[in-house]
Amino acid sequence: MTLIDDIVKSHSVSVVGMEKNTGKTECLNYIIKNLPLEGLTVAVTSIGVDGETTDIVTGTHKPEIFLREGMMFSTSEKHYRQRHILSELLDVDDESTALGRVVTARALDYGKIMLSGPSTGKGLARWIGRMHSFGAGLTLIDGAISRLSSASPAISEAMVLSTGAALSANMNELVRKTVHTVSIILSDKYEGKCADRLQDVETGLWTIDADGNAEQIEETASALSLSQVKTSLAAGHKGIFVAGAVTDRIVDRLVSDGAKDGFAIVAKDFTKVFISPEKMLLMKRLGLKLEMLASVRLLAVCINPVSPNGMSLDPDRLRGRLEEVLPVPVYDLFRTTGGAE
Amino acid sequence: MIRFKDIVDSKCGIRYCFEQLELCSGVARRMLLETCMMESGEEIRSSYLSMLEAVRILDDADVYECIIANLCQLHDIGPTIARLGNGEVLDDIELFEIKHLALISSKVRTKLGTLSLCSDKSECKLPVPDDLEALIDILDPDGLRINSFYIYDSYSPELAALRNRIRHSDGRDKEEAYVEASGLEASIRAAISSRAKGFAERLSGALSSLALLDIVVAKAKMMEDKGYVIPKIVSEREAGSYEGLYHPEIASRLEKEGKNFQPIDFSFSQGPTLLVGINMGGKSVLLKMLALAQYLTQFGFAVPATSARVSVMEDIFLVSGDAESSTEGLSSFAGEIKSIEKVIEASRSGKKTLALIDEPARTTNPVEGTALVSALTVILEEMGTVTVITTHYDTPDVKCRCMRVKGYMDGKMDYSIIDAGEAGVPHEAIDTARRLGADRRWMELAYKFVEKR
Repeated sequence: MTLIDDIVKSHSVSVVGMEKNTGKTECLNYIIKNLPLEGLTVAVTSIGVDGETTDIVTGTHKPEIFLREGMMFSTSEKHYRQRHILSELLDVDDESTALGRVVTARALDYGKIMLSGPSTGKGLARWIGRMHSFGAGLTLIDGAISRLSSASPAISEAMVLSTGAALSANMNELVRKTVHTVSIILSDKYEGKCADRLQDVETGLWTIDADGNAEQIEETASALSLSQVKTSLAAGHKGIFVAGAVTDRIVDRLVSDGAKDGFAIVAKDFTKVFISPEKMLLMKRLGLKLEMLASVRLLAVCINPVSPNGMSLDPDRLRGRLEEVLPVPVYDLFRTTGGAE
Repeated sequence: MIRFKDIVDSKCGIRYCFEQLELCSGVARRMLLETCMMESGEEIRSSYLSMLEAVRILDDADVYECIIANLCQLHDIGPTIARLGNGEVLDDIELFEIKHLALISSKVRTKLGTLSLCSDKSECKLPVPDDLEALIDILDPDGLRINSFYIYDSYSPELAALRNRIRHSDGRDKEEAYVEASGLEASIRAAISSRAKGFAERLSGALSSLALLDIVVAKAKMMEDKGYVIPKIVSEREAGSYEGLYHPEIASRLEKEGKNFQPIDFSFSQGPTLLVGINMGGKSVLLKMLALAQYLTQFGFAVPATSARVSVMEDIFLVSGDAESSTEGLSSFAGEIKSIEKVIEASRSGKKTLALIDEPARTTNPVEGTALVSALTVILEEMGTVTVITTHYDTPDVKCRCMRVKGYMDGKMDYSIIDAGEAGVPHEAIDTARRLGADRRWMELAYKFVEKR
């Protein structure tokens, strides 16, 4: 299957669900089950708390991550003690999470584990580096968009997005939302002169002039009502970098202040963009661009036609509809694996 | 008892030196902050000897890299060791921590051995961790000497068989074997913990030896990299002196601005020295440097100077007026009086005291200010307190050593300290203000007021 081929070619891949119960964990398990392990060491972790046996929000059953012999994994002390797998400890990290320190181990047998790894962006970047130094050729990250975690899956090199009936029981709506998210993920990378400098910026609003120089105008993005944005627009500035969330309000404000064709809104990465489909359309019409400081390669979209409340969509139609409009491959892993494990 | 953490934010600027220290582990950082100031010459000399031995580690790139790489992996597992010592059963993570420490300890010990420093342990001044091979044997039954841990198959043939059954069975049989294996693992953990219990003390010794080694290697590296010197510890009768003393933090700041720090020679005398000199002549900086060098010496660091002779003190005071007590709600005058009170108290109790006092009583009227400074000088003289007092007040009635900053020579500032001779306090404040570009009319009037007097 080409999904596995694409993953093997990458150094780090995150699996991200558009919503809870959209089949992210099944997707990760599918990948783990089908990866060729000869000559390839794989390390797996999750951003923040994950791999709960029961979903805290909906109370439904939630599968654990199944690991194969020889794979490395990182999880919290708490979840390591509760593991259901024979494994050999390799490292105990000094950095602590809400569930204790992050430990790294190697699976000595097939078994299951709850994953809860690094919870900060820096921690995750460090983890990827550390796993490669331990000899991992591929790192897999159980990621999340709408979770309370400051670690962003955009740190990984490539990504798989899972979507499904849990997002919307209405197929049109589901397709529309998925297409919208994919279009945000596939936004162009910002390549301007100040890109490196903005990489470590955590807060504030920066204007970018025609030569690509960035200048901070506000400490927080919420102070957008200030006239400085308008002044910078009048001065012919070509873009704005928003370190925090990029919302509809920001788009509205920029449009009413006179942002014109060619103006770029630069976000840190796709997880920071919360623009509605309507506003995206407006931006497109006016010629405003949306660009990302950190871009990630989207390998595929995986679908889960079943929602936690039992609603089921026709998997073939869903896949067909998405394949028509998405520029990346769409897979129905439930069909391939014979349902959830 | 003065601990490093008590003085790390002292105005002398020792935090800069602390931050410059290339420590590998948090354990060492915490240990250094808890270190008590040394008050015996013997102790200080011995700590410098171990630093000199650490220089030999720096000289051998291979040994240095290996030791640093191992020290960087040091974790503070004090609580785990305590649990082990109390006879509690440790879990896999804790057993891993202990094995990890024992392995680090063993690698460092072996590397130190290659330097032939430790052939005679009683002679070796470097902290060398104890031999923990017997403990590693317990936690590494397969003799792999790899930094990893689990309840190995070789602990029990029964466990190995159960694990095999788990691998090759399904459903209930697998689950039963799993439960049985878990129970067996638990009893093996208990057995290992009780066998390892006797090593608890040696483990905690190894942890502190490694942290100490981290500190002493970092100190040696700082000395080598920055060209600091090991001071000679002199007897109580000699008050101490410095040649080419400088302040690393200020020097590095100046360097960034393309300027140079002029190193200073200075020697103390028994009793007070009055230091006079024009404004901006570096008097306050000198006091900071003297305090810094004294602390560095008594915490076993090399000193930023070309040569140093240091007399050991039991108490060190740097009293400088800059808004010291504003947080306590005291006026600057009240804060200063309270600080000086502490100096007098310490001296009177017979403690060997170094007092560095920057412009005392400067915030009050010059008549009483002069009287306060004169009287302070007299009582510190009576008690023989090694003191440097900077002042702008003329105190002709006081008989004590008086030094001054050389000042402007051919339009350039010379920060050297020389004997003040008969000249007394230089009157150059208005000249200095003029050089700083102060208002002309203001300066002209000021000259007139001086002339009137």
